[in-house]
Amino acid sequence: MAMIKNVQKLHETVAKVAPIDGVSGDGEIWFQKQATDKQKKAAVKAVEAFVDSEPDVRVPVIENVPLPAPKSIFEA
Amino acid sequence: MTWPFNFGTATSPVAASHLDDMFNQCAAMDSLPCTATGTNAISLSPQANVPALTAYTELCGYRFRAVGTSSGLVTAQYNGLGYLNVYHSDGVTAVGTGDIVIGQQYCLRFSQALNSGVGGFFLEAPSMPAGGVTPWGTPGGRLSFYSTVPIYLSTITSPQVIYYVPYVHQWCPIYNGSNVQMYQFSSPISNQSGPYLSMGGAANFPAASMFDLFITLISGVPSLVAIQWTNTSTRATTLATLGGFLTNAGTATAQTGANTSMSLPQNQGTFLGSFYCPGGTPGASAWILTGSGSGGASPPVQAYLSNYYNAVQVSLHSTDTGAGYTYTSATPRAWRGSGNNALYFVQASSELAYSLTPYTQTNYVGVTGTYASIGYALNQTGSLPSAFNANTLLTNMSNSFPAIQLPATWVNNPPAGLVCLFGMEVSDGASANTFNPSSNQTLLGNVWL
Repeated sequence: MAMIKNVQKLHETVAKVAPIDGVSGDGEIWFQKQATDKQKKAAVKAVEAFVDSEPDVRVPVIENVPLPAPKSIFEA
Repeated sequence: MTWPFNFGTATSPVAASHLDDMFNQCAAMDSLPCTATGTNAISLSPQANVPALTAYTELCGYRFRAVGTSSGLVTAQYNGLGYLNVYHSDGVTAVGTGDIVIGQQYCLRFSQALNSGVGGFFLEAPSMPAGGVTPWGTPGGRLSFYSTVPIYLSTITSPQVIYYVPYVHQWCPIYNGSNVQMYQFSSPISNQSGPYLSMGGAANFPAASMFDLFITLISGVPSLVAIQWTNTSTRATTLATLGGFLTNAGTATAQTGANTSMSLPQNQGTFLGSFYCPGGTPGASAWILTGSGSGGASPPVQAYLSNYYNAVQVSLHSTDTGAGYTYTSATPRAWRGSGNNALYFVQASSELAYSLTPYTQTNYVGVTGTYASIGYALNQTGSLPSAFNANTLLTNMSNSFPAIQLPATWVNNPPAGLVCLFGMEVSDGASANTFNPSSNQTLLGNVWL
């Protein structure tokens, strides 16, 4: 299968049908212990049916945190 | 100088005492066999049928066999005469602790000028066997899976022969049961190979077993042998220093080849390094320094031969080229849950530190309070870890520290034996944070091998 780029969207999709710890863009699924066989099959089908899209671009946001007063970076 | 009496020119009967004088004169020109008592204050008595001289004579010698090893400054007397200091050949340096050894024979030679005219003895030390005084140094070769290349940096997937290749020289100190001598393990000087140990896939080198390598004499020839560890972290036969280099501390069974072995006497194996036979086929090792694949190097990075002497720093790296993935669990795991996102290697000792650096990227989900972290785990079994090693939780990605990820190097002294270093990851238990979004997550290690 083609490598899926938007793995967070994929995660959301698969998590709706089975309890998972994660998914990979190459289709691997890490199920939680309580996942049933039926849920696992549904998860595999969800991956196969997934329509990929470009992942959201998350722009880093530096919060307005006051800088500490200048001092040595080493302990005295 | 002449004799005190000349019988040949006598013209009348002479006193018989002149004969005694002449015999004593002869005795005073040699060294007199004596019996010694005392360790530091040595009293010498003339042996049977040896004249008991009643005064010290310049450069007269008194020979004895030591009954103790000196433990302080040494003085000596002969035949009840006064005790005098004993000096080395410079006439200044006093003989002291350890200079006289029990069982060895010495000669003390009197000189009136010593000790500012008080008089004293020069110590004439015994000769030593040639092997006992020949200097020795560091073993000159390197263990290698390549017969003629001491530092081999390419892959050898399943080597069955370990070579001891000349590197800085062709000599190695070996204790032969009597003394330490330097033995030439490769000759002539143009020879680029040395002794080797052939495992040949044999069962006496079981899968998943650790060994120490020694060089010893077999029929007088320097040869490689191997002693198995109890497990991947515990030596069955410990190491002991002899003459400044490491040897087998006790007698042990040593493998000499495929299904052949010998009893290696205590101290007669010079320790060279360690190696590991991984799981699978017995009698084989692995030398894979780099690799890549989804989930890390495939086959995994495995550097299973470690030199104790002449080690060099080698770069190991494993790259996960697989697709990005999510992980929500708060339970730490190896990157992608893969045992190939790791560096496996052997360390002959814990003396040389390694350094470990990740190249990776983690995308948090962009929600306040979420986070994801990476770090390391080390074990000596190869089992997949579920916890970080202390102080190795390197980077905590959250909405406060969203996208700047600096390489963080972990420097540590390794345990001896099998070392398994894993890249580790963890999430916050809820958020589908993304790991390895660029498909180039890499674990870099600098290791002394």
